[in-house]
Amino acid sequence: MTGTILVRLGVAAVAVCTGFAWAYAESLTAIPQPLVRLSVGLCILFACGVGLGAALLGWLHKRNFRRSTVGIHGLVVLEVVVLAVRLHPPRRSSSEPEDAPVVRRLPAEPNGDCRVFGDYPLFPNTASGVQIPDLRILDPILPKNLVSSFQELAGSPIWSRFSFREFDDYEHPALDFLGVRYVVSTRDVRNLLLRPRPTEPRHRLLREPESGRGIQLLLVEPGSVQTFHLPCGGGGIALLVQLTSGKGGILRVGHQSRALIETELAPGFSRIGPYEMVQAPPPRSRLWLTVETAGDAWVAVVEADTPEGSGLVLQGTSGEEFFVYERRQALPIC
Amino acid sequence: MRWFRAAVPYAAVLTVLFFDVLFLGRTLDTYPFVPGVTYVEAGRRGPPLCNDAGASVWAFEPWNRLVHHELFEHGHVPLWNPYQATGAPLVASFQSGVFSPLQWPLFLPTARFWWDFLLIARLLLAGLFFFLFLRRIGLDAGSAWLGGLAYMLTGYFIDYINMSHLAISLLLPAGFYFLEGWCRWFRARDFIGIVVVLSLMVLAGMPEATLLSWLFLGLYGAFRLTALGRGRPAWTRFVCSFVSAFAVSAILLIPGIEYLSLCHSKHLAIVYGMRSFPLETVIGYLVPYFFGPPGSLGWHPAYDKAFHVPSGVGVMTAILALLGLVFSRSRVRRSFGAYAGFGLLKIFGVPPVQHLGLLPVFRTVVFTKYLQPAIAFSPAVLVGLACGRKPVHGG
Repeated sequence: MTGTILVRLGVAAVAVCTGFAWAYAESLTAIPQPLVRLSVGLCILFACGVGLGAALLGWLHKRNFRRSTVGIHGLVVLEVVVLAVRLHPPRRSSSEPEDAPVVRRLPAEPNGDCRVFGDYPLFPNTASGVQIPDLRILDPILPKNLVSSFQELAGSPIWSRFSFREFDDYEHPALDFLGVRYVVSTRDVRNLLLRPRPTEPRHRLLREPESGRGIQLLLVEPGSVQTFHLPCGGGGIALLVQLTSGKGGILRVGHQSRALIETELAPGFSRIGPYEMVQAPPPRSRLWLTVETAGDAWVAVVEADTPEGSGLVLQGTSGEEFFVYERRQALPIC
Repeated sequence: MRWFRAAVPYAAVLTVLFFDVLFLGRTLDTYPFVPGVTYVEAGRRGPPLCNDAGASVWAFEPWNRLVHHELFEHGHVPLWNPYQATGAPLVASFQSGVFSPLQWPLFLPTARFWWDFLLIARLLLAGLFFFLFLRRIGLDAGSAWLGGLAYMLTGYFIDYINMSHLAISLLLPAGFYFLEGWCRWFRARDFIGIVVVLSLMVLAGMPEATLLSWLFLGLYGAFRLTALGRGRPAWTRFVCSFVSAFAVSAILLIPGIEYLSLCHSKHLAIVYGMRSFPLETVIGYLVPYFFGPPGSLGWHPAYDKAFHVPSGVGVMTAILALLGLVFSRSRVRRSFGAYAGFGLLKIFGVPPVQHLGLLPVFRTVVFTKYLQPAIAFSPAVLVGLACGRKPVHGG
């Protein structure tokens, strides 16, 4: 290995990296996402650093520095490992695969005498993993007879790799013929002839800790809105709202409280917070809490009757919103 | 046990890199980022930091779970998927990998940790065989280890770590190892090794990646047989190894080819072979993610989210690859330099190499995605050659 060449190549690498960065400087600084801007900047700096390191090691090598070869090897290892760390894919808490809410809200029919259809909440193909028959298919290759038959039946092509993506006529008789009984959709299409599929009730508990009085609520989803008047005590926590029965999400609202919500509200739509109440409700004011649900999503808003309390911000959250409908008829599949 | 001396440090590096996955209950699975049948975290922000977050969740994971269910709860080999469309071939659709031994461990438990462990273990396998291959062409242990590390952790593998087609690219070093041995010594065990590797590639069910890997191995075999002055019997046996692999893979190829005549595919209708990267994205080789982390919204028009920028190798790897190409005394350096050069010309759309994508069969191949492992292979070899202390007798 020639030290001189290594020096030249190291300097050339730095020049190329900085040259590109200079050429794109305007675009780079205008990247809207701070995280992306930061990571791109770090990548460029790291590449320049490695280039300079190579040049330095080449110079040492030229001067017969004994450890330069070890240094070169070390720099390779360092760069490869650091880049692998840098590029490391997502790291989220691992768990056993657990069915998403949309799956749990579909009927458990292991032998399936009906099919599912829809859009985003139940992605094509994925239902195979939980043995739910889904009319859609995500594959580079689709059965030709399916493609041609559906075009004959519905007059709509399904050429896309994400088959049926463009087909959203959930009441088309072709779906009856093909055994589609359930439709999962992000769209609220209740005005059509479809009927919302009743799901299991979810109990939500409002409780005043001082009095211990609790109000058991049964929120019918989707899209129910409940408003409550909340007596606000002189201090401390005025109200606890438990928004789910199982996972025990607790929302605290009260005088001088800074609400921290870290909860699993609905199974599958976890990690709501932490969210912080950015403004405390004024003392002895009357508060109203509005809890609005839509599917597995919820929004909680607190309003007060005092000027200080008006526009009180309670950062609720919303999960992914979807609807499950049952179609009126479908031929059973064999 | 020379492989063991390389395996331990490779395993140590991987353990450090993936410590949180192996010991802290984190996962490489992309399920938090895309809707599937398992958890998706509503309101999840930030890029998934891998090039194709969707495919593993939408395809490989459901199929693995389906095969697991059919095998262990119903007790039969799933040839057909009754839950897709009005019923669809499962084996014949290739990608499910039902007959792929590489895929079998994924069919066992459906625990995420097990999947993560296998994703990491296959990197180790690739690094190890790469080391053995470089040793076989005469490099000292240190240089061979360095080359193996450069390949094992090349940007492409980290970007696509969740993808099942990686199993094919990660088999490339094993193919080269056995091919080199067979070209030199004509040992039966090397011949069997080649057939096994080639068959595993086919059975993995990713025709595009398999085609390019076979081509890469075939070109290297042809080069070595020519360089070593082997006669017609050697060439005949060389061809036989590929034919044997076809025969072994018949269990997948026969239903798969039959299905091709019964299916509709956009892949067959669109000329994917002419896709290329914009020339300015070449900087991505030196500065990985110059155009943003994978899965992020790119800031440059050239960036098209999924797999449309090159996966980087880094400055030092590029420099040493150039040094290895110019200064190494090994004859194999030219062939690997040629592979890398040819591959780069193709994925950056430089004519006339670009027009290879118009040829039958090649027109269906997404070179920008599936040619990258072969391109990453060559610099890793050249890094080893550049750092080699003793003369290489591979010529």
